[in-house]
Amino acid sequence: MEKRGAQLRRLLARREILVAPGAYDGLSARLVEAAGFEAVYVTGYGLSASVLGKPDTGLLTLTEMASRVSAIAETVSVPVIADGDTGYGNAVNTARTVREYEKAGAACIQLEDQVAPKKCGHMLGREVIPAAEMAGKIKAACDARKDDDFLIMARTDARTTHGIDEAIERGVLYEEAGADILFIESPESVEEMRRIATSFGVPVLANMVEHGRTPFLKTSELEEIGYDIVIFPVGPLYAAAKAVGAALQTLKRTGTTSECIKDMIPFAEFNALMGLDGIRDMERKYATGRDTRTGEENA
Amino acid sequence: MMKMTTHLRDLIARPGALVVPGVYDALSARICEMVGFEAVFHSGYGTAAVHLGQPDIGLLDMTEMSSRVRSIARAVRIPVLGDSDHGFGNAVNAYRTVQEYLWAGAAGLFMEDQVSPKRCGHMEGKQVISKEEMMGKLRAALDARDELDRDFVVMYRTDAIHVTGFEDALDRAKTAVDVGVDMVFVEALETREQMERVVAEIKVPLMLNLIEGGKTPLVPVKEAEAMGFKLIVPALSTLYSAARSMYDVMKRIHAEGVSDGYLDKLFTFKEFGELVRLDEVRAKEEKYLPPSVMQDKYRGKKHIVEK
Repeated sequence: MEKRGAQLRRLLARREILVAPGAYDGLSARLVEAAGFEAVYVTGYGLSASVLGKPDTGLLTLTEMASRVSAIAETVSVPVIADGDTGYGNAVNTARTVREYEKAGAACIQLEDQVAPKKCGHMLGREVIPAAEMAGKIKAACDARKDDDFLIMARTDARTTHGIDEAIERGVLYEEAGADILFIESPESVEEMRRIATSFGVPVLANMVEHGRTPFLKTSELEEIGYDIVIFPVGPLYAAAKAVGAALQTLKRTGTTSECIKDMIPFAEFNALMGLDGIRDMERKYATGRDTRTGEENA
Repeated sequence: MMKMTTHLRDLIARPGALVVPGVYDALSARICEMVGFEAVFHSGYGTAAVHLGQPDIGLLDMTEMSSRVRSIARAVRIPVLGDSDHGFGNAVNAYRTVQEYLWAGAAGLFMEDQVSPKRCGHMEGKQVISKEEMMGKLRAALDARDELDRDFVVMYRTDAIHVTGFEDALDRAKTAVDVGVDMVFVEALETREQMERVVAEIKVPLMLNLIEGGKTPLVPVKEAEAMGFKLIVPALSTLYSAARSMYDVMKRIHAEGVSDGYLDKLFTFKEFGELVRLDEVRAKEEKYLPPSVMQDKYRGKKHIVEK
């Protein structure tokens, strides 16, 4: 089987833009894959919400992040691009973080130049470390990977506090340090986005956050601008949150969920999504004893 | 049953010093309990060594450290103090860290003022955050404590001596007492004079960290107690003795193969069973398994490992 890093490199080498919606657990990752997307983005914002019920302000640890990355990578067969926040410390910690993410099965880790503890890139109150220190972390990350095809993505959060020029200069420095993908976080106009898309020799990522600081464009528009990859990190999370909230309101109001059953995924469809048929096949193949007792053909 | 936090407070309130060895896993903690120590201290240095095989330079995260505390606290029936490094981030992270350590079963913890990533207090290259920032972290730690269990012991550790000097360390410690910490640990004291001054000038119980080969003179327990220290912590004696003994025996096996020539260096099969409380398993079987099953399993034998 083609390794995940090589798979992602092949997808990035195509002319069309690669679209990677955000997942925060096994279920959301399966939905991304089932919808036909060719890559999954693991969002720290979503994990903070899903693991802790807390905002994305640097509360999650490396272990918590890596264990979720591992669960997601195990669930899907498309490449997983994983949010590695600040690398959880200095260059030495970053080296360990890269190894943990690689072992977890990610194809790419995203590392940003924020001061720890970090914040979501569309929140205010972010600070950045010196560019030279971040370049050292990127070098450490590149040296730490065992598989040369594993990708290191460098993200700069400098735009909001230091301006677009500084952000692009940092991007150039991080590319020189060895970054395989660049992510210039939260540009504020299409013109800035055009500059970003044409300033580097490596693939460039666009981040589409609903209600964020960046113009909200279609994938075709981003492709035209020159972006190579786009993530929609929080769209699936916000959709799930609203849908679950609405169903619970109906239950509270009417004493049943009958009114919103039409909005739910049916039992059989959900089981199929989770791969229940595959489990059934294994039971038959390895004679676990289940099917001999029941004789039922479907689980 | 009395809560471990309350029990630890009682032990601290008792006159005289308490020797609290550093431990790095459930087994080392059990050994200390079996020997008769009344509390143990979870060591981050030891955890880095046994969990990662790496030095104590801030590679472990809060999840790894608190889960180690949890496994130690489950294994013993004496209070466990946790090493929480610098609280793993800023004051907001420090708040979460206290919650996680408390939920893990610690009876208290210390939190230090090093810049992240931290390192062992007896290594070179340490840096400290500002006093103001550290006091904010301690306030967060104390608030987290008050929300869950007021008996949980919060200890401030300062690493300032080798960064900004002894007087600054003393000043930080006094401010931390005003902020409300229960105990203070001034790391890497260098002389008897410094030891005497911290005891005289800091008005809460003090911890003394004694590391064989570290920066602090290895004063005898009686002497440290006479000076006025409350917790005397041989932090690495478990780890270093285990490592040395394992090394010696394995070297011999590597050279000569398995033999009875080093049996005096090993716990016996039966002794080890006592260490991991094998007889309690047997007692639970007696209590919960049907007599017929017990008869089939043991055929009249009284222990899982016979004498």
